[in-house]
Amino acid sequence: MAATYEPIATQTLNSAVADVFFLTVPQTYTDLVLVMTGGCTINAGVGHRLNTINTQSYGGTFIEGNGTTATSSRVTSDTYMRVGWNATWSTTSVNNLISHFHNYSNTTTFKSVVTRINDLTNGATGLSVCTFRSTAAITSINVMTSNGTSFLVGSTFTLYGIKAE
Amino acid sequence: MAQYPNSTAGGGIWTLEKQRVFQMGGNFPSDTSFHSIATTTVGVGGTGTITFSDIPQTYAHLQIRSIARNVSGGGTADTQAAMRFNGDSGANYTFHQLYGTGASAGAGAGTAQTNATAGFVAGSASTANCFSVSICDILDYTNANKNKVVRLIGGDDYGNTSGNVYVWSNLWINTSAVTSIVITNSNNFTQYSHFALYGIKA
Repeated sequence: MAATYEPIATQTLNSAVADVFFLTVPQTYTDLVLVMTGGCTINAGVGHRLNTINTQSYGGTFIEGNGTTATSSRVTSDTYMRVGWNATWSTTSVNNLISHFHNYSNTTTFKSVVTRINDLTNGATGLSVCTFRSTAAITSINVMTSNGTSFLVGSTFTLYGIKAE
Repeated sequence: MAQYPNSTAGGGIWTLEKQRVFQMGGNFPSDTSFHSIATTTVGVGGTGTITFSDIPQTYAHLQIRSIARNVSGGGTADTQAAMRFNGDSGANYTFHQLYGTGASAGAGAGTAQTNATAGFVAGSASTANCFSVSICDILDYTNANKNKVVRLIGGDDYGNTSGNVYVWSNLWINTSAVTSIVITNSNNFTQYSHFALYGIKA
């Protein structure tokens, strides 16, 4: 059996930036996993823009529980993939997201991403499933904030590849 | 240690190749605890059954990662892919679910089921090229002293205007080690549906 789940790249911020890029993503894996942990200089959500596409090509459905209630929300068309939905990255709590990009390199299906959400700012946990309505292979990932604010120094972003054989 | 962004890294953007060279001289380790066991990609015409047999007993957990879509039936909404262990078709499975439709959240449960759920399957009438995505963990599958628990997350964005998201658990009331998994779909899985089985070492 072939070992897989390999780290492709890791970025630890030593200065605050609003965008983190993974470019020239290798096309040799089946799935990608992106693990993100950190905060923002001003409260913000976190999302992805794929292949630098900024048209209304992204949709998603979300579920979230805060210890009292469970709620579900949805966005039909947006200019980026709102994987974190209402999860708020702030200066005071370290949050994390884990996004799974399924079959990212095929050119026949739309690309869907499952993201597990831990939102310590709001005391909530959740899950999102978002779709990039494009059959193009994912060749670049831009991790971005919802309002252009910056990620905190020390925030980490690690991309893994999983290969099915 | 890699620093990002870096003034020499092209306007704060590093390509992966730059990161590889900077961090590890281009060499990343491949000796992980996550192993590919078997994969099925559905071909032209589709299929109703995915089988993983003779599953190695050398891992702690199994994971099935899938994308799937129905050939027929199911309308626009998604359906579930049924999963049986070791050929057991008895009413020995239970489930609990938490789901979100985009408008509301709900929960459900069932006992005495004749199958577990391996994942979700986009409806045949959903927007073209939409596939459901799922990650299914079968925990401690070789342990012969306890019933087997399955954790499943996934969902889809199936009509450009609708979608579902799921958090699901299954119980197989049987202490046998899992040696085979059969995943079925009465609507058939369409071409490009993909099921990959992985083993995870402790």
